[in-house]
Amino acid sequence: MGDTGATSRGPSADEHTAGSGVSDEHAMGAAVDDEQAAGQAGDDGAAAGAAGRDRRVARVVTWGAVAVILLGAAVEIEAWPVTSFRLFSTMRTADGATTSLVAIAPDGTQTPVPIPEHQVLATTSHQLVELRDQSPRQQRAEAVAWLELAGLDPQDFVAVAVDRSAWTMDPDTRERHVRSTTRLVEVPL
Amino acid sequence: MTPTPTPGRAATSTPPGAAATGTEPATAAAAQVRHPGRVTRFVRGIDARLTAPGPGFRLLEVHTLVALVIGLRLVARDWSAVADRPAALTDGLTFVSWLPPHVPDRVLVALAVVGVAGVGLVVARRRAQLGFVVAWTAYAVLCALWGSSGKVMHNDVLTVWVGFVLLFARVPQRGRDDERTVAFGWPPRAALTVLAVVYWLTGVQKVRHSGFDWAFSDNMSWILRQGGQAPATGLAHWVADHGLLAGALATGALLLELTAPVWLVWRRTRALFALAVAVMHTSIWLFLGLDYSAWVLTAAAVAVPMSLAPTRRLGDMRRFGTISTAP
Repeated sequence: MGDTGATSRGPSADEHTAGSGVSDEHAMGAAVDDEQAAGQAGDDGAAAGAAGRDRRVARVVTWGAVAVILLGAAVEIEAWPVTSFRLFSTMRTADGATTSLVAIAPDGTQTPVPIPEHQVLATTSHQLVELRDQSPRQQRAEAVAWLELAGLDPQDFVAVAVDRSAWTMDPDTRERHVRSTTRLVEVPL
Repeated sequence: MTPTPTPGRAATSTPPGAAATGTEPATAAAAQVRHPGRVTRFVRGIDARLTAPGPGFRLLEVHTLVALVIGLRLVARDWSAVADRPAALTDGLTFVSWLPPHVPDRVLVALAVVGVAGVGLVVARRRAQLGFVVAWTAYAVLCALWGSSGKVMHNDVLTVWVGFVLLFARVPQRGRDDERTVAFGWPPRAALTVLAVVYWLTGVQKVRHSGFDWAFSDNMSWILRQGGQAPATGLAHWVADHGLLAGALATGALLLELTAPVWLVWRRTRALFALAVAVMHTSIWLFLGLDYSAWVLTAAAVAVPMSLAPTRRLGDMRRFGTISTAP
């Protein structure tokens, strides 16, 4: 992934920078006595060692990061920032489903519970499907939290329920015609 | 893209005398070292390109630009909104899932401020490496908290991964920008590699889960019809009703993602890639209202400087303007 020039100039550039100007001195025909030469050799060794260390760091960091990213995608791990990178990867058709929350009053009246539009709160709707798998205590805590976010008093209701509606969209009017609604879970308050 | 002979490669060669044991495997191994196979040559070529020396100014450009993207994201969002989410609704596995489920707004804002201060250090070139670590950490933590609502959020994940490899970069001190070393060379290339891999994966996952029908069916039409509030919903619906146009849009997006490594391996096509993803993500924002601006900015921050000739600095581009406006 390197620059054309950088790679083609690699060895000479490396020697030039890592070798503390050795190549320049040779080019100028400068006289170098033994003591200076010994010091120069020491500098060269240190610079080569630094370059070698930098190469090892480069390999570990780059291929380590790439390996984690690839593994996360292959195994479909979702442990952010390790992710499967599934962006719109499933096919969309005219058919779809929507999950919604309703609050049930003592007289049986059902009130839709709106979820706030702000991204941080709106995305909590993705937890609705999982509500049925939670412990009763967690179910109640989440139900109360959603009611309060919607500005509804939990005291006014005896339960909340999660409904899943299967729909088909009309391509011309873009209206969703609900085919069936299934109650996934009902949580007593 | 001439492969660079890597000085450190000698370490992987068979030492003198080792092949003189007279055993066949040793001879074969020695022969392989002398005449490496295609795969070995390919791997060595990539390694040589990654670890070749590079100019300090290029690292400085990419490092600073990615830091500025982080800074922009830090100031563009009201991070205190995370505190509005009840603890019971905090969900999803992230690298900060060990934190309490509810973080006070003061802590969130303080984290954002500290992150911006880190970006300031990078831009001012005072303890730039530390500044970048501080900025990246604050940003990554805040993004992880923002996305802990039950849905995997990808809006900032590219910037976080590209920034991750730059955490290990040793930026040049003042006056050393023109030096070419291994330490300066690899971080921008590592960032480019991560960029290529991430875009390629987004394409691969589409093919993996939907096949090429993702592009060649009416999938895109339904995506556009079912999208939420967007700046150009009417236009999105118009495109959705023209199957050929919607199909072309999907095919273009998928092709761009799958060929990302090809665009990014060649210096001259890197800037074009940045432009192409800008067009793609802008159309997504217009049609679906989804904000992937961090992806656009990150791609530009890495790909544009890396598209310049090795001796040309990003700042040199200003000269074109000077020339064109001169009397």
